[in-house]
Amino acid sequence: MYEEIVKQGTPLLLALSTCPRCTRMKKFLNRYRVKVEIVDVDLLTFEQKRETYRFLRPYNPRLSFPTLIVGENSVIGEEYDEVKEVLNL
Amino acid sequence: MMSLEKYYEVLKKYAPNQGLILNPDWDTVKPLLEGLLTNGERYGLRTCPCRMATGDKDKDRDIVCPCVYAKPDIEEFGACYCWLYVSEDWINGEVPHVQIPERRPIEKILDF
Repeated sequence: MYEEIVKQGTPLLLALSTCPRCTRMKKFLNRYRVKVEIVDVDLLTFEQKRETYRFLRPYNPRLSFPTLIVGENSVIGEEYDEVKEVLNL
Repeated sequence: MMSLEKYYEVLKKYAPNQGLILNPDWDTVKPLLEGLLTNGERYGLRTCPCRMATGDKDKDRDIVCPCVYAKPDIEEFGACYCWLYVSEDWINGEVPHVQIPERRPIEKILDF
């Protein structure tokens, strides 16, 4: 399912619902009115978590959150300058 | 669920006994405590809010706050992974406030 989203050019934010860094990243993207698909991975089922890790690993081998994926690019953590760059904000 | 205020009071007492310093910035601490309390309800253990727990107590033990990676991270970077616990130098601005790289072994992360 993630491949489809990314292929369509929609930014994908993989986050945790309990993580303040992820919350700040969500707010940041919202402030810039970025149309983004947000997934709180901790709220997924066991199988979906597995699937998420399989997808995420090539982008972020340490499997940390938040990770923003835009096409072939990814931004790991709260790197707002990088986010602006990949999203042309 | 334990109230946020109560939990904060407990940690303020607990931290010095463990040789830890709570981050004095409430805006940083508050959402972390909320995440910890949520995980406590969800998994029965207050695991790192910035890491994914499995719900299996044996597998999650290393990320019960304060996680086993906190002390080495504070020593090397001045703060633990989520910035809940910090060093004096970090508070005084003598070390830069950087994102802490994930120290938890990938095998542990993948084991669920």
